[in-house]
Amino acid sequence: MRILVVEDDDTVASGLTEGLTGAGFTVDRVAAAEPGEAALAHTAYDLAVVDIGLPGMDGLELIRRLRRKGIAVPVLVLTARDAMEDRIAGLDLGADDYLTKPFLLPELLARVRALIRRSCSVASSELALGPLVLDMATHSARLGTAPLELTGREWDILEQLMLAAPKVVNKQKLVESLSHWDNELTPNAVEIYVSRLRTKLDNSVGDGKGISIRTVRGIGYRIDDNPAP
Amino acid sequence: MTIRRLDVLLSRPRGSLWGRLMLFLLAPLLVLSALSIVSDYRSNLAQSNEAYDHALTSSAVALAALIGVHHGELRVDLPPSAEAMLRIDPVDKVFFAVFDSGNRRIAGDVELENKASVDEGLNPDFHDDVIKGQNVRVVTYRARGSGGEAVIVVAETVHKREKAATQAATKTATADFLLVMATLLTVFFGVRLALAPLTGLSTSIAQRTPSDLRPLPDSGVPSEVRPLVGAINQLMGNLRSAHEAQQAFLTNAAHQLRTPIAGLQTQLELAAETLPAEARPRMERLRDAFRRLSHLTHQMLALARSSAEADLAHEFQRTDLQTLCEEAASEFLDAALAKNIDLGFETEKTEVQGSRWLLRELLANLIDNAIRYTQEGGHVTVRCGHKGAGIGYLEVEDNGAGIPAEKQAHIFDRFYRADSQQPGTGLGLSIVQEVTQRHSATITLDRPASGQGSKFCITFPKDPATG
Repeated sequence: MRILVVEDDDTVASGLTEGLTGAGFTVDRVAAAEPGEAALAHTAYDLAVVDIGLPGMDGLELIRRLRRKGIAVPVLVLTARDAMEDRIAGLDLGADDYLTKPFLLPELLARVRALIRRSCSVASSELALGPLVLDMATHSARLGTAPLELTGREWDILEQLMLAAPKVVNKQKLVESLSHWDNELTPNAVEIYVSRLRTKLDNSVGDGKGISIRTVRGIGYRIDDNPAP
Repeated sequence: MTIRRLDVLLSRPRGSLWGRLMLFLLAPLLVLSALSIVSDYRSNLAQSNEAYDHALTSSAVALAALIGVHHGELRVDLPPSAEAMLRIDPVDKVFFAVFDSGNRRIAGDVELENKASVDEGLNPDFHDDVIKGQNVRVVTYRARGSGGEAVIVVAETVHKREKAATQAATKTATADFLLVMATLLTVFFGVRLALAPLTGLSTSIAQRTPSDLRPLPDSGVPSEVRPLVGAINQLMGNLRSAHEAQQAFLTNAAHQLRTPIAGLQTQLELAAETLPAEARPRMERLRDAFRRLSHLTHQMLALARSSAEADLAHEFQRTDLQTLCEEAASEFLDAALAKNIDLGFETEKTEVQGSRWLLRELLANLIDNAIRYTQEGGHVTVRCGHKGAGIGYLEVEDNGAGIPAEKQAHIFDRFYRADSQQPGTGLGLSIVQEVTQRHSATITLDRPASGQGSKFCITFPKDPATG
């Protein structure tokens, strides 16, 4: 997995480079938007981390140009100006996610992994969260090395949770997106499927421990690979 | 002495404009009416003198008719009845005397010796004199007959003259007094009416909050006061731009701090991984300090952006509180899990007019506080919904220790921390309050129904879109 970091501040950039490298990514770094644009045009990166406040062309303009050229690389935006947050979050500027400085490295890594997970599930038809992998092509799931037997509904729900992680998935939205006109899903049914999924994840053997589906009362569920406290 | 006092009064910056107006009107009016009373009295006295002088002259002329010549000498043939007629007067005492050309008194009262006027130019001639300590009016009439010149002097005390003049003066004084009183009343109400715009102006200034630095409206203000309003507005403008500059500096400083803090924080986390185990506790403390530093920077920025001076109008948009709650769920789930706190939501679609960013900060601070001050295994519940048509609310309830009543008055003060044992910036609830105010919303703090913990509720103003 290859990531381009476009960041002018050396301390932040070297921290990012080192942190991402340590997490197993291959990292290139440029200090301005222009070389960043060139690099992204010539090399197939899996993700770009782009600072908004760059000297010369700013990060938003860089993203706009990339999208105009049809380069669909996922972009995680870093910003020191919270006034940008609403524009990035609310308007479709082409960024896929954003983080406000200062941020914690684990938080950044989680966002990076989530973005790559989503884009890879499209590209390589494999969706992974820690040891949990869903293979879209063969419709098979495995936890570490052990295969995980899932029913159709369980698969659907797990896929939605994994695509959204580390965000909480609204139960009502799960119901709406998974209901077909000939096959209605009820919130109660979702609860039953989730409880079955938990049992299957907990009962799995080997190195697959540590995947948890958390309940947020009144909203829904979140899946993560942090062991339960 | 009086002039000095007046100087002091004129130059005294304080004191009521009102009092000054009354003083400068009342004092001259009283002096003028006093002068008017004196001059009236004098002119009345002159008038009554003229009338009574005429009567006095008649007596003198009547006496002159009684003068005859006997053996070459002048004699006055005055029968007692005539003398009685002459002297009869209910009020005043009348004196008379007749002198011959040798200034010998040939008839009449001894008191008039040497009282005749010496000026021969006027006939009859009047003057004022004193007899036995009493003021008298004296007429000197020179009659020339066959026996030579006779000087007839008639005098009377001035009681009835004074009485008449006093009566007339009392009448005019009463009229003067009534006029002064009427003038004062007119001025009193007139000034009050005229100063009413000033009273209105001062009330509108007095009712302002300290942060309200908008210019005063100068419509409906009298032209004399307009320069004052203009000067106040200029001052307001200066204060406002000073405040704005301060806010801009704070915002900018907080922004500028973020990148170096981000750099330090990532470097620190990386360093922590490579250090030997014995350095871990120190590293943990460092990491903790940095987390607090970055939190504080963020809080200060939030406070600056939610201040009254910040221009928020362009940020206001329809914002769904339910969406904000869902986002907060993702943000705070880990913190809640770390303390084994049950974080729950009871929400419905609730649209309010507001700044997304600030409302997110408000909610984040309330949830952060709730999780921070609730014991392991506790419950935190976030609610949003409507308290009637178009009145949205946002509520965060916990079953933690709660805030003691005596500390509740201070919880919105900047840097105040009700529980000094807990780490925190002391800015969270200040931000909550500022954001609440920017949205014209109200905040209440109650005990939850369970009787334990705290329940903060933000109630938004009625949404005009719902009619």
